[in-house]
Amino acid sequence: MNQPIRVHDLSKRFKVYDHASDRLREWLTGHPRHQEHWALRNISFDVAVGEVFGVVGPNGSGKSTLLKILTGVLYPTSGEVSVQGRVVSLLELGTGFNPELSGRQNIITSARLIGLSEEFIRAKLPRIVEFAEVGPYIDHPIKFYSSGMLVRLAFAIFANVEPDVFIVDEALSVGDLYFQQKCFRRIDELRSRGCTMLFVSHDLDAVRRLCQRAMYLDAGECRVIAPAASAVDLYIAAMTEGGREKRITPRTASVPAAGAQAGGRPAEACARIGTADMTIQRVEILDEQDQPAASFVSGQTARIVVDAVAHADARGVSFGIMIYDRFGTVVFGIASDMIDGRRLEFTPGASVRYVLEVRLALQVGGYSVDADIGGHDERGRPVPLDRVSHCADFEISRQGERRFHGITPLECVARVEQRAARGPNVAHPRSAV
Amino acid sequence: MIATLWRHRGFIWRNALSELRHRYAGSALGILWNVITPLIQIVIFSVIFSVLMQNKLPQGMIDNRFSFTIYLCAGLLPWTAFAEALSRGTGSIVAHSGYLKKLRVPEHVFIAQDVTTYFLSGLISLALFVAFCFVAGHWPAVSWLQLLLAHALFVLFAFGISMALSALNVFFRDTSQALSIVLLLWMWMTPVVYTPNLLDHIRPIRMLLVVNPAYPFVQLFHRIVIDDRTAWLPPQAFIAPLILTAAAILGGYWVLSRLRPEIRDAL
Repeated sequence: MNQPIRVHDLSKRFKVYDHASDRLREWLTGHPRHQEHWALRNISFDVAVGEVFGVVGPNGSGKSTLLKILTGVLYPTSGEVSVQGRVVSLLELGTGFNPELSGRQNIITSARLIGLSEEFIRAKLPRIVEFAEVGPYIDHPIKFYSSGMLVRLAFAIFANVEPDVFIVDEALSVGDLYFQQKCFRRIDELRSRGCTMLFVSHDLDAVRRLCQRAMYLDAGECRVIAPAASAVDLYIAAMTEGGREKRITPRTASVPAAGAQAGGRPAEACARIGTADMTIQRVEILDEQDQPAASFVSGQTARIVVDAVAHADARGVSFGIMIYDRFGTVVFGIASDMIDGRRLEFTPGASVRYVLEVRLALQVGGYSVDADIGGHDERGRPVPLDRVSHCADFEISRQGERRFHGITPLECVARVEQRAARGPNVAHPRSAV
Repeated sequence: MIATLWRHRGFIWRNALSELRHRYAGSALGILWNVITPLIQIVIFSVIFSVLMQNKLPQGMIDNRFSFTIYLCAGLLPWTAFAEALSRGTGSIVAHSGYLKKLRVPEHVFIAQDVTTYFLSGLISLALFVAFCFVAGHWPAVSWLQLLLAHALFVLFAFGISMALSALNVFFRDTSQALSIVLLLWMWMTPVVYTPNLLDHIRPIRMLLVVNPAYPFVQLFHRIVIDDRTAWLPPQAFIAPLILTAAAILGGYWVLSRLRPEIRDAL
């Protein structure tokens, strides 16, 4: 049970016939009359207990096919697939709802369809009903439900099953914001409980945030299985490249001298991608006194220093820094050309230092930094030169009482006015932060 | 197969019932239409064949004014249930593709569900038929309970064939079209409207009865209601239908299993 999801050399072929009669002729004569479409080719991966594994890739890359094979809807053409334990897929959400049955009956039918046992359903039913928040309508036919109520009902079932393996797909993007947040909260909860998850999404930030590793699928082939951030980066790079730039490959290499005190990471966590025409040698976070620092107070200024070396002619270069919070949300990111509109040229051997001075107006918590160097090729298309994910960490420590809520203190001015009719007009202007 | 059907018995049963209930959804009489349709059929048959045309069964097989109507209904009502179960069962996988594309519930569960619907509506017809016999003075006997078994076997026979045809229908939608014609020919080749002795003089057609797999089933109904109306049939009478049903289910399931890996690819 160590590897709840195991996929070994999985391939899936669809047979495409121009006419239905071609299939009949093929059956009768034994002579193939179809074209082959390989939706998946030689895919292998294992997902460990409690791991959240992401799958990214463009439309038609085989993501849905992979999910359908894992949930047992489609059969693999070759290779082995094993999924152990109770599998629940968001794909199944709300399928099998019968408009004529009541909400309660539909919960039971739907739960049976996804293979839950009778005892389990009976035990969970009151909680599911409560969770659905449809009040007395629970005993009315669901054809009278609003779409919001339907979604809540479907979600209530999923929120109360205890899957060993949970498969999340784009279904997540259909609901309203409330629903999505609820979904994410549930996913976080399942994740913290050690539920194994397969997460397939176009929401790349979510993949970065939720997944440990991710696979980038392209035209049915696995381009890379890497730490989620770098798989996503590779995917983004390949997309902006249109997949033409073959030189962009993921490399795992340490960034030397990031400094233990400034939150240096082990080599394999720093996944890198890029053409390596320029490489990042060192990323460091310094305080205002130019001393390496890993802890700041909200509002202090930090200098993020990137040392790089050019190995080939580099055109149209800009330096980028991304700051992520502990949930993987991009809190702030900026490229040098966004600041001054300038792009730079370097010749081989050039040694460059980029310093970004940034006021860390941030909430208390841990943050991590990505550094990247982007360039342009001969034809003016953007090319990633080097990108190092999570190459440095820092922390905003608590000092005194809470100064604000949320991620970042927005600049603000507060004023309380007492209306003239009710008393003297007293204003209390006060600026915050 | 049986295990998965058992596991989904609740789903099959509930959906079959609700299909029956909602086939006429939105109509004022609702579920009553399930009763009205066969009732009208029986009434029309008796008015036309027994009152107006005064058809009687040959050689006085039973002595009753409505003997022909009784004979006709005893064969035609089960046949209708069989034909409907078969044609709906054949379209079943395509009709439920919405589920099949998302859930790993096996195909035959949905076929079973559709077939069960027609088993139930067939039961309603049979109940009306028994009531009609009662009114017509053709006294039903306890042995008529065997009608239930005969009906179940006939519908299960349809279920078996459906498993094969519904899988084929995914790849060749012509299957269900062709089936409606085949069913029409098949009905007229089976002694439902006429009695089998009509074919006695025509040997080649008589031979067709021997190879007609529906005939043993129809014969069973006729024997229960007419030939052996008060006596329990000897167990041998059920052998042929049992074998046919078992063969249809095994064969149908074999075809379905062979095609299963590609069925959902083609939906």
